[in-house]
Amino acid sequence: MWVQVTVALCAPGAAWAFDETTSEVRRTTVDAGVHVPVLTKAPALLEFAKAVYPADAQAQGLTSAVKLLVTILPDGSVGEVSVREPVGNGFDEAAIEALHRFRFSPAELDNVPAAVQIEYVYHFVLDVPVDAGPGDAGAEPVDAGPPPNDATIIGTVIARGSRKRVPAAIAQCDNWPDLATTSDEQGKFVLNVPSGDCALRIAATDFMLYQTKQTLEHGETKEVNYFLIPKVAGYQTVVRGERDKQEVVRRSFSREEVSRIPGTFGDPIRVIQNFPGVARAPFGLGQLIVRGANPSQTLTYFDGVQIPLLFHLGGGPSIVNADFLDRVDFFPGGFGARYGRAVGGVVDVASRRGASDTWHGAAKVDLLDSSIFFEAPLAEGVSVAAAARRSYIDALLPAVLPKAFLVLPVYWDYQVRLDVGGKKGEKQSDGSSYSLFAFGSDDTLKLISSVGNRGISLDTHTLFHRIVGTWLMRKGDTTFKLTPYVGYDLASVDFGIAKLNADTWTGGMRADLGVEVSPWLTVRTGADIFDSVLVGSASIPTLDGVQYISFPGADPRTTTQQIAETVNTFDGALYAEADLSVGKLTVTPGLRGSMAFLAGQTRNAWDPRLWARYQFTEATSLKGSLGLYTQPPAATSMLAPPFGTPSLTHERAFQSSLGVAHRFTEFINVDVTGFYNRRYENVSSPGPTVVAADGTVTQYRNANDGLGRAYGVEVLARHEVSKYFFGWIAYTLSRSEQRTAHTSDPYVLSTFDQTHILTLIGSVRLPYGFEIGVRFRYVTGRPKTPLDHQADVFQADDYSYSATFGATRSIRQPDFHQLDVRIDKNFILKNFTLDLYLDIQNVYNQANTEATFYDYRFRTEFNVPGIPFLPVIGLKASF
Amino acid sequence: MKTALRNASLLVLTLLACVPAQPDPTTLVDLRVLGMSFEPPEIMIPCDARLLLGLASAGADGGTITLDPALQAQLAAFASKPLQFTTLIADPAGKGRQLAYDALACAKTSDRACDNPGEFVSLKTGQTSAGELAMQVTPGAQFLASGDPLLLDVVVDDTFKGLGGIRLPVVLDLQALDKTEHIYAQKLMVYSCRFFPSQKVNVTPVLPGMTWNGEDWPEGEVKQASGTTAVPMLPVDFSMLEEDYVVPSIMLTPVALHEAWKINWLTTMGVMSSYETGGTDFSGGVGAHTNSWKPDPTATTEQDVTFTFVVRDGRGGESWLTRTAHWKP
Repeated sequence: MWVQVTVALCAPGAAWAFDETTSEVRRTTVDAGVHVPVLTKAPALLEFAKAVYPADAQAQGLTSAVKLLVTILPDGSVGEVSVREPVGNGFDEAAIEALHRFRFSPAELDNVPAAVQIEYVYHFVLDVPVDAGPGDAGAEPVDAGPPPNDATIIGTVIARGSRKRVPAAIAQCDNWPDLATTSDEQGKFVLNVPSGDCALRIAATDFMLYQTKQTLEHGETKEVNYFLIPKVAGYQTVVRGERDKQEVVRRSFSREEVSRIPGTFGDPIRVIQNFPGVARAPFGLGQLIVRGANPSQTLTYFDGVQIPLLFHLGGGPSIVNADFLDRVDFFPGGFGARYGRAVGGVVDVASRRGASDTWHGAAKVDLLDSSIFFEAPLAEGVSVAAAARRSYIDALLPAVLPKAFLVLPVYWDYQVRLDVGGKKGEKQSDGSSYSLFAFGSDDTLKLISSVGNRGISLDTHTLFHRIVGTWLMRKGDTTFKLTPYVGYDLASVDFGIAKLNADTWTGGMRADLGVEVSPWLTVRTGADIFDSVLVGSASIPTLDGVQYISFPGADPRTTTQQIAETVNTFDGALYAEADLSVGKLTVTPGLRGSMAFLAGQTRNAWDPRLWARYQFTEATSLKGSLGLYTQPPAATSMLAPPFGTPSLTHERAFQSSLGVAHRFTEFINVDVTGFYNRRYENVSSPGPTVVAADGTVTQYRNANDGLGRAYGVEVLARHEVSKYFFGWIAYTLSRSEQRTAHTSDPYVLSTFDQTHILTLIGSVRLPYGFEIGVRFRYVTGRPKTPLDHQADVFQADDYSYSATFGATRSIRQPDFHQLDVRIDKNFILKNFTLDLYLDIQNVYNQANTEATFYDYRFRTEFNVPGIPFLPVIGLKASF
Repeated sequence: MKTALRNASLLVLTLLACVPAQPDPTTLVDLRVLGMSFEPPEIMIPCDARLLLGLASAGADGGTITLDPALQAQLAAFASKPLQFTTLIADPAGKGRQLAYDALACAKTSDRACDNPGEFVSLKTGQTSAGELAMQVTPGAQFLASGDPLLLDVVVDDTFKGLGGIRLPVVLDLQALDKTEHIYAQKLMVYSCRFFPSQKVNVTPVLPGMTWNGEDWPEGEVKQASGTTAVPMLPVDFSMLEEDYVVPSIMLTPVALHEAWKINWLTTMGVMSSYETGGTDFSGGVGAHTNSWKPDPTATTEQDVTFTFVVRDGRGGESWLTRTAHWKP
């Protein structure tokens, strides 16, 4: 088991590129149920050692820059040094020799000194007398004698465009090379030099060499900001990598990846749809259809807290601001015992803490909405980040819609996070860090139509707020994380005189403990408690078909009834799992037990799970999983008839998978996983109707009669984020079927079954601030039931026609294929960067079929095309 | 309500995506069944419904059905009451061609073609042409080939065992002799049990009249129209004719309802702005009945235009009016 931590050059608080490390940096941080080592303190250069300039090279006037891979040991000394790109002429050996004399402050992972590897570039520059400049031609060379350091330059090294402070930049006057200094984590340096002219040179890896001349008077102190130009504004990754984990399949990606993929408009959740195992949702909606499961069977967490709403307005942008996320983990199945209440997959979105160097921000404007993001350090070890978004499509739609039809959608969301300790600040004596995170979302939709005889007036309002606290404590090989949270949800619908309202107060807590007992045993255990109270009220007509038996085509006038219900939900779960390592084999048995009180009823579930991983080589592993998964029914569906079915119980699934992963290069890896999932006791509709001996009828809304199975193979060939490129090829070959239990009905294809799902994604960064990303998708058409019109079938009572269909879902819609392209142009200005982007969906205007309509007699069918050629321009400023 | 939601979602989809143009249901171009009615629309049996339910349960279980002689006689007396069964047929392209029909009574509502072996009875066959096809039938008095009373099999098949009324499906199998067009049209005949004294037998809804551009439009008067100007139409107020009625809830308590008639609008040329008017939506709001006729802008031939207005009360009662206008380009 090993950990890979990559910190690119421009990342806050680091001037080097941290690359692959080995098991010595492994830590047992508990975050999202798995080990996630966090770089809490970057190493800083304390002692710079000047290399001996190769004599031949000096004689020839050669200069060079040697890129090295440097291991910094936990005490700050330099361990192994290797040259990444040899340059010859003796520079490589000289650089290695100098680096061994460097000394750094120790890097910290999870607040504990740890060995890390960094990339360091040593610049060899010929020491020459100060060039006095054109105006000073013929000036006397500077005396090389002992310098009277009677002047001072106080500099701040800043990255042009991002305003990020550049630590560990080497500043020196060429005429006083022995007086070199380095910038600290805030990019500041103090250089004491003799008065007079200073040919100042500032060198930092991946920035263009900065040279200027400073003239200093005796005793003078100059404070100057130096803006360094990035060599190439490459992709930046804060912390990422494969972690010590037990899940067989985990897809993780970073902010950089999610914000650049064509066709997703930078939406982190929609990016998940481009991974193996996820079926394509129609009309570009954001539903997650994972390995044949219904969208409601895949749960989404934000910082470990389940969120009730994933997308604004049901299928619009996700409620997560892309600037605010640190990473997104997606488990299509076989997830750890820490997660529950889902029989499909799990998405865990992790927010990020605010910057610690200086304040930064971003503002984005596009066709639908505008958003703003802000982050800043408040004090040593204390940072804040905040984001907000508001739509304005409600102001634009009336301009394009008919006057008789008014749609006014409005949405907004926010995130605010405060962090104390744990990064770059003073190391907490007990290794603790704290955060407070508040986020929420609000959607309103007003629909007014005066088309035809029936005016439609519909008002819907959905909102939620969550406040999440986190205490992360690490001591030795033990990590503990406590995450309490509270929340409020509102859902209301006004449709004419009918009104429905539901207020829900939620509270919960997660506690996760991880202990590395020995090198071969790691234990994780915890609790996951959720409680909610829903207070619902409705003012609605007597419901035909529910409260009385309606006649076909009847919409009579009736009295309005008042309904009020309070529905309690409690679900408490305990889990435990252990990594047992024997040689190359790691086995992780796990168990999750839950007890739920749903609308006054008790339901228990035990989910045993087992994972195994055999590490053939450092690059190749075989992995497999088996497990039971349960998902409690919604408490509202367990109300007394006719509104619910009190006898409902957990939906259940057996999930299994077997796969192999191989890392070909530093950036390229391939994962092939086969899976077989069987879902049973799924909630189906309608439930049974029971006629009692006294003639009364009990109609149950639902039953646990849903059966489903899905099997297939998923392939992910991925080029992880490098400086200039990232991308992946995702392919899924699968079959998903369903049937109703207790019937003789055979299995039929499920609604979203898609045999082949191929996604190609690539994004390349080009010179002059250009970046081009492409996404190509090919997906087998969804199943549909063929129309078999032999005669019109008319029902006079409701004045409608019925269709005559063939075998259920026995044919398919035409295959889907589409190419999307995104072009970005970055303008790097002194204090900020402007990103102008053009996101083009469906470049070759393919008329893909998204749905099928029929004429009123069901004689012929009409295909509804999807999104046509659609260019969208947006602008984002970050600073 | 369902219609309103369907129309709203279709409208949204039409606006957001490009739904291809579909044939307009208000325009009569080929063989259609426009309306079906029974007179009377409902037969109410003063019986103990629970007895029926018990019988139905026994039948469903394969047990022997033993009818109480008194109830049997009572059922037979009501179920054998002859009904006037009328179907309005349009066949504008048929030019008076003959159509073969077979009137069938079925055991299962879901058997739209009424051809499940052993589960239907033929009431009458013959040939007809466009216009009204009327016949006297006694579907409730029919016996299946198995010897079971048809009415009882309907109860057995009913999820609610007759609680919402025994709804006996009658299907008119209508086919052009050249077999180019074929329609199965289903109408439910309602045999109700009186659970509460307040339950009253249904009365067929009848539109008291229609207006053309704000003027009365009595039967036989041919209105004149020209060009492409839309003509507003509105039925004469019938709100006083809409009845209060009572149905049993699923817990056998009375539910008071008030009819909200629906009208379907049909024309032989051009289109109506609404196919269906009236009824209520999810919130209980009642839809208006204003409508307008838009002549076909591509028509060039002077012609008579026939309008049909089919009214339904939502309880099985149905009738229609026809009016004629003369249109010039």
